[in-house]
Amino acid sequence: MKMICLLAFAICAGKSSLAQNDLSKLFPDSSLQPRHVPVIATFKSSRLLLSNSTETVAKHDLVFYVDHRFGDIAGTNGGVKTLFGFDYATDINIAFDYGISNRLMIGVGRCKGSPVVTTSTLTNKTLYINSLTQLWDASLKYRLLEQTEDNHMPLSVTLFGNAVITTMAASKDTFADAYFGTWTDRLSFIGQVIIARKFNDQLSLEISPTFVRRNYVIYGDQNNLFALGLGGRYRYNAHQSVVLDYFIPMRTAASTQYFASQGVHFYNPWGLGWEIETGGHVFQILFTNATAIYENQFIPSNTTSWAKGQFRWGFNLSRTFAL
Amino acid sequence: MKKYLIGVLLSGLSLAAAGQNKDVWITRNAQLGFFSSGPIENISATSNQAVSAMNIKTGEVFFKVLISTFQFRNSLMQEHFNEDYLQSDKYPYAQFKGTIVDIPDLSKDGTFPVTIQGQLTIHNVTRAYTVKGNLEVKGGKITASTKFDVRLSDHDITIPRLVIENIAEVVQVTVMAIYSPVQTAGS
Repeated sequence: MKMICLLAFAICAGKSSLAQNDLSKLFPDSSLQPRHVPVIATFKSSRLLLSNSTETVAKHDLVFYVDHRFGDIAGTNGGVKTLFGFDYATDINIAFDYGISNRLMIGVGRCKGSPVVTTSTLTNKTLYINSLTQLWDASLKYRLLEQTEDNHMPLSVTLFGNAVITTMAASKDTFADAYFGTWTDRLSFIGQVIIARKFNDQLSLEISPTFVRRNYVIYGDQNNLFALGLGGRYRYNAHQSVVLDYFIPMRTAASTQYFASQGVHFYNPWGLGWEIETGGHVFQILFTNATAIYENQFIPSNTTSWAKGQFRWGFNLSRTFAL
Repeated sequence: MKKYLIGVLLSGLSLAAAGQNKDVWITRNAQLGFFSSGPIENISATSNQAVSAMNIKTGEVFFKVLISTFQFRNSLMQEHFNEDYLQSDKYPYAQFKGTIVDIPDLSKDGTFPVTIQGQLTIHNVTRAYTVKGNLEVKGGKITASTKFDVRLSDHDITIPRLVIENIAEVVQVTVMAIYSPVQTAGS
């Protein structure tokens, strides 16, 4: 019945187009609209702020990144004497991403690494929570599903995986995470499913279930750790946005208690950034409690607390080259 | 899916209905392009998915294109073009409605220089244009071509100061459309 009405309407529409002699009636919008057009620019870069966005680098584009994290702004290591953390770069990263296709991206990077080493309040021994530096990263990112304008696909889903290896000298201390009994102890991995939706021109949100695998960790720590990443971007004018990135590591109660008994507390890493995009460059100025740049370090091993003044400013800088 | 079918049905039927009118010629893949020369790099894009119709008796002409079908060599530029400059999610189409002034007799082969007057809507801003073009009749097809300049500010298209891409204030638009009589295209 519905169909017949539509048919009747279509014929009338056809006839009336003749009567009015209006050529535009020949082309209703629906006949021009391609189906399932992917939504563009859910985020502006393949990085959200601390971690990944659903975006990948376009085919044959090369993106160069320089990222910095400075020392504590306040607290015992911050303040005026260190120019609010300027004197201590906790972590530095340079990286390249390259688009093999519009869906598949590869990346390489070199990161200083931000060691987290402290002294147990219980035994007075050194706790090498995550002492790895000299990190090399290789990553693969695949855009599995793309949100479409017509909501045929309501979400974008991207898969991310990396392998990070340290080339630092092995520690002689058998209690150190850098003891490296075998070379595979030098490796850690991230597996991430990044799910995002661009709600409108301004707001995009994402959620990223993350798995962190570290091949060798100290006693009481976890080789395998699940975490949940939450993030979003609010674009308040054509080229500027506010970006939020937050991780909830799912450390077991036993491990949390073990470390707490030694005076070590883990804090959920998060960052708040201001993003400026200028045709080919993306600048992010951010505040974060995480000292490290690689997820492989800051998701499992973040012991710095925003509340204790242990947050820092940092920047992420990227430049896209169309090859 | 259903919506899509209905859309096809609707356009098909209206085409079929219009098909009785032998004066209407149409195309579904007119080529539109634009070019802007800059000190750092030239920017160009094309779409071959524009639709157009022409009434060879009255001289009426109609063009319509989905902005997002313009393809750039540089994907970042394409993103900026859609997201920032043309705001294609808000204003998805550009269209031209006009008339060929003193339309020549197109029943025989030949090349005819013509003047087209009409209203061009880009970025939801409509302006009057008068452009010169050519009509070529050959082998049962009519090829229309024209080249004209569009001033970005005429259509409220602003390029933010922050943008490093040097985009000229005036871009050259090229149009190429090969029309067939509507009944062959409709059937």
